Amino acid sequence: MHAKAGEMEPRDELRRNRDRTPDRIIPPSSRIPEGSRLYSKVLPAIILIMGVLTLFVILVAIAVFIGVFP
Amino acid sequence: MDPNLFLPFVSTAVMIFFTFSVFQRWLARRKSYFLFWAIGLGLFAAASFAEAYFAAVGWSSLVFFTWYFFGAVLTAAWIGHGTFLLLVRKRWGQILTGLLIAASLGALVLMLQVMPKLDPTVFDRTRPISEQYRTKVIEPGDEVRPGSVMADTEYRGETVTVEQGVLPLGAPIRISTIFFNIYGTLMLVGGALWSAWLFLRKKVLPNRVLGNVLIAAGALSIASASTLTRLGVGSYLYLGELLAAVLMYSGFVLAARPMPGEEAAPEAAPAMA
Repeated sequence: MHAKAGEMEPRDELRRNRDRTPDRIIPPSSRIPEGSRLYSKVLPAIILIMGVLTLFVILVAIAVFIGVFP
Repeated sequence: MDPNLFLPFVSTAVMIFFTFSVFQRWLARRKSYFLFWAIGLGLFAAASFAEAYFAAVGWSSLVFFTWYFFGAVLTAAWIGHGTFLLLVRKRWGQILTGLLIAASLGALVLMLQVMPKLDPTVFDRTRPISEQYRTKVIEPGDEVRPGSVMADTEYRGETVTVEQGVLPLGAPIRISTIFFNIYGTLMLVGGALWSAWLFLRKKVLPNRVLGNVLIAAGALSIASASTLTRLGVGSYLYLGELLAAVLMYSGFVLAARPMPGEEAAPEAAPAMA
């Protein structure tokens, strides 16, 4: 069954609620502190480096597989 | 004392605790991703135990089967598939679950085919199994480890000199490991980093940011050690496994811990456990 114009499909409503979930249920004590160097600079850099390393490890594994390395 | 003789015992103990914790979560919540994580971690624990057995007791074909099939072939893919199930829609999850189970059964057939062809005479319990399992072709100028068993053998119509390992040269089961491990690494490390990034972007739940980064670091350490093993440097595998066990378990404990005043969220699972 389709919703009328202006009404939300149940799935859309669920999605909207899910997107709002952290705002509704996460208390201030569970939020990342504003201005924290760890969360604004260090961890994003670590995540980026680990992502690149992961791709590198996978590429080396593929290279071993196809015989680039003996 | 060579650390490779006792590292697998520590890894096994950590992984048993870890498996039990995740399995308890599956019992409580009946989410399929917890089940796949628990199975994958159980396979990891079994493979670590096999390494401990090799160091403490010696050769056993059944233990080699456990080490290679559970550890080298299946572990990463089954843990990583748990993360995949957490992050994608149910329909894709069902399709990939079917593919993973079919591929695992195919690999089981390949493993059973190679079992009668194993060469246990080259096994030396004072060295890690990760340094002895594969037979590799030796080219002129290649370094050969002291104590290695050398042989001339026919391979693809040529006579080649090989450093003899437990598995025969060109065993098809070895080819399967690359697919399972790439899938597992992409899902496990990628999924944990993606989840950490989402929480970071929303500026919520710092414990899950750190927990997922630790899980990704643990998974990356075992993936790196496995790749080094494929390159012929197998002596870091046991250390990589212990690091993976400790980092992933720490990440799981940290990420699963509720923050002060936090209610249970619908998707309150870290990307790995």
